[in-house]
Amino acid sequence: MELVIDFIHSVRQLFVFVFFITGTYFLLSTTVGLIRFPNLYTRLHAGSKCLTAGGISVFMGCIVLEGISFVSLKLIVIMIFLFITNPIAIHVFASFDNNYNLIFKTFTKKDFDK
Amino acid sequence: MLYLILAIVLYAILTFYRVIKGPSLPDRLVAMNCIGVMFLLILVLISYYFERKVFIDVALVYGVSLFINVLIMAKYLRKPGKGGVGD
Repeated sequence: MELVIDFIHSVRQLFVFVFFITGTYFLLSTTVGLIRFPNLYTRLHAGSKCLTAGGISVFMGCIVLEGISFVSLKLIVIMIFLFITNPIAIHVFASFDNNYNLIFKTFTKKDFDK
Repeated sequence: MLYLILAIVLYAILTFYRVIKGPSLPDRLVAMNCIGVMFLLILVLISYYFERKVFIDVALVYGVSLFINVLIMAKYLRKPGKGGVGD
């Protein structure tokens, strides 16, 4: 019986490490994307998806570490709120920078043929 | 847990480069949104590091406040009369 409980504890620790390492990777990709990408729209792309994925991974790690309690219920509420509101914020940015006339010059193969 | 907090602090400091040297205004706003969400994660992880589970309420209120802050900045800084989400 103690062996089964020890096994479940080990599996839980393994899941916590996997979720935290995935969240760290996504947050690192957010930072590298915001620093290195050339245009505004690619920065919006890096700031919306990777940030949401990293936040959800870190919250899932905390939920698995906690177990079933009221604290994990609060964490689930924060996670669902982040999952809903972060794409809305990025959509508002992408719609109001349309007023600044930020049309970028991106050369394609068709432009060189002209 | 401490290394994860330090890693996210390092990422937030590196993202602050885009706030200082943004060519246009929406770049700075996106970078500030990213720093805000990273600070939300730091609040949750600090609550686990010091083992005070009451601090998660602070993170919950901060998440709501961050969203309203971002929306009000985006609505205030747009040019009026040309159409947008706020109209």
